[in-house]
Amino acid sequence: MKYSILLLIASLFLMTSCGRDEPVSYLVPKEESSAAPSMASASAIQAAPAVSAPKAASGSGFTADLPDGWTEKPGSGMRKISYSIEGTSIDFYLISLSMGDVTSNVNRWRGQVALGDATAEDISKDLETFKVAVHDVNYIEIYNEEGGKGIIAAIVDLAPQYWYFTGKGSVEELKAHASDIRAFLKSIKFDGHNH
Amino acid sequence: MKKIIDFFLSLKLTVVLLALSMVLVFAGTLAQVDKGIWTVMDQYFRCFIAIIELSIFFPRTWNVPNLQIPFPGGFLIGTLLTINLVAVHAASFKIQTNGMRRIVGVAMLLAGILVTCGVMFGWGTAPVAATDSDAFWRVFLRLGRGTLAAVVFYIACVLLYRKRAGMVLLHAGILFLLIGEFITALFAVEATMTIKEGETVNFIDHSQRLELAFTEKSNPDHDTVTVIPQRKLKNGATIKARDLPFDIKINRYMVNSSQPRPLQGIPEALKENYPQYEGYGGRLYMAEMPEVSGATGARNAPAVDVEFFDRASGESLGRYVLSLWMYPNFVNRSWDMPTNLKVGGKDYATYFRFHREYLTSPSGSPYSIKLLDFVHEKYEGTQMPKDFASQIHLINQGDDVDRELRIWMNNPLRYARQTFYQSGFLPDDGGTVLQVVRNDTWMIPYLSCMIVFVGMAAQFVQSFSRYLRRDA
Repeated sequence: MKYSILLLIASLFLMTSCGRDEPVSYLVPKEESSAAPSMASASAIQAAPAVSAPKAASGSGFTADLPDGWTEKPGSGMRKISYSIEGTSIDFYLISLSMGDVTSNVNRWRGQVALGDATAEDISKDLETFKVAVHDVNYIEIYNEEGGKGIIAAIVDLAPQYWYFTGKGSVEELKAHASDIRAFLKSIKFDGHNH
Repeated sequence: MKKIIDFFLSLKLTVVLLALSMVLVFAGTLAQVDKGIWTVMDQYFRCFIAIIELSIFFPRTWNVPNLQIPFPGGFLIGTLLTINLVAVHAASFKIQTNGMRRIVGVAMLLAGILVTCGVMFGWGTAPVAATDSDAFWRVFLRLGRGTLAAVVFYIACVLLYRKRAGMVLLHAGILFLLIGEFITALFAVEATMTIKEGETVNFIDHSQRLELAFTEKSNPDHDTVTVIPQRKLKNGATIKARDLPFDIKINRYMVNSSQPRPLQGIPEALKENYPQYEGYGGRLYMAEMPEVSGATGARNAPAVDVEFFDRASGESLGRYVLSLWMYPNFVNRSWDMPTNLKVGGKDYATYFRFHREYLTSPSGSPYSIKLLDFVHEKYEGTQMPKDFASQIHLINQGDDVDRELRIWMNNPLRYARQTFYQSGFLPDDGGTVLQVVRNDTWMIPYLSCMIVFVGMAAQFVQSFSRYLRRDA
């Protein structure tokens, strides 16, 4: 029995001491094209580490200057177009609807970040309005600091249609990118209709 | 030698080891306040000597000295318990028969081992098993298979040990469970597979192992990948890989790092000590963070601060931060941030990523999975998930497997020694995340439970009937 015990101890130690730690190289088949939105290329990174030239976003009926680190993604479902923002999980997209009531929409967004309804008067205090071409834009930033979630939204009045740009993500990320979102919205140029 | 054998035969040893294991479990649980669950597993349980920090037993606000106490680790306690159990078993339960009865008993024992192997390795079951039966009946069937093996063992024990058959079987079941857990700890693999709709993927990401990977794509037929295992990434180490034209100096290995944020939004005080990185680190802030607590369920995102040096000239090629945040499968494909290096006329896409294993069947033939469709049903009017399902296409040309299958909650696919479970999904329901588990001993808990159950039942019936006879 003594040999079987020694053999058991030795084999247990051997089993736990296995492992390969050296660098290895191997060949693999070519991967399919990257399924994730690709960020700026290496040359762009190295040539322009801080600010790169704005790129025109070709969306559905408009163009805009894409802030650095933004990538355009094709629309799906109700979304006309979506954007990913480098290094964040912000979901920024555009949908088009035929209703444009600001108060009810702002309260809908407030509900999505677990905030209660606000009065039209209170909402108007947080609302920023500006024009893109000849169109009115109602812009608002909604943050639930406790819950950590937020929404930045803009309603572009293209009556009878209304365009909703909505960015959802963490409060921290949205605050860091709010200026980029605002600059993007202000750079919108519509493709040859009603302006 | 007799002293050693007596030591392993001692009941005191069993009691001491069980007490030590209780202390170890207690300390391991407290350690998860500060450390991730896998760090604790490695530091306390999957090692022979654990290092217990005194401070874990006190509130973190107290200024307790950072005293490190060596303590028997999980492997050491488990090994000693196993030896103790085997030794006691061998000394206490002597074979009590001779002649033909003994021969038949040994034959039954071998038959029991054969049946157990068959149950463990799924002999006679379909090579591609996409389950569609009810989960209850599946578990019931597994317990049934375990009972079959247990009954064969019991017959062998009756033939060999007579009245002590139940007791022998019961102990053997516990021993089997211990050995099974040990093998699982050493060899089981947990990984994930992330696939977008319409995409075909031929690899899995090992969740607990990382690697620094350099992919060179100049050959039109294949890519050349060079990987540096996580264990080589030690502070101050310089790594020379034969197939890379540059050396890699590890400035710092970070057990966790912050999510990338634009540098311009970072307070100046934080930026003061932030290194001058090339690449993404030059415009995104990715700094070292404390390890997340295992109690929170949050994930660590390890990172490495590295500098590359041209091997021929010795010149620096730049200092980079490579974080798991930059690997697309860590962030559910929300983004893809490869660090591209150009050295000696060749481009190297670099990631600090999960250890990648390319899928092969037991015959050695590579296979892949294409996601045809991902279905995510929610309860009406809510965002509460009701059902996830992945419609997949399993392709293994070498083994002539070409099948469309469905994987959904509690209904995994078993193929090529791997089990693929529906685990998660990508943003906008754009793809699926499968948990992939390879554990060749996954049936051992079912088997050992039934062996213990049959042994206990036999012992109980035997004692009860003896009691009835005495009263009669």
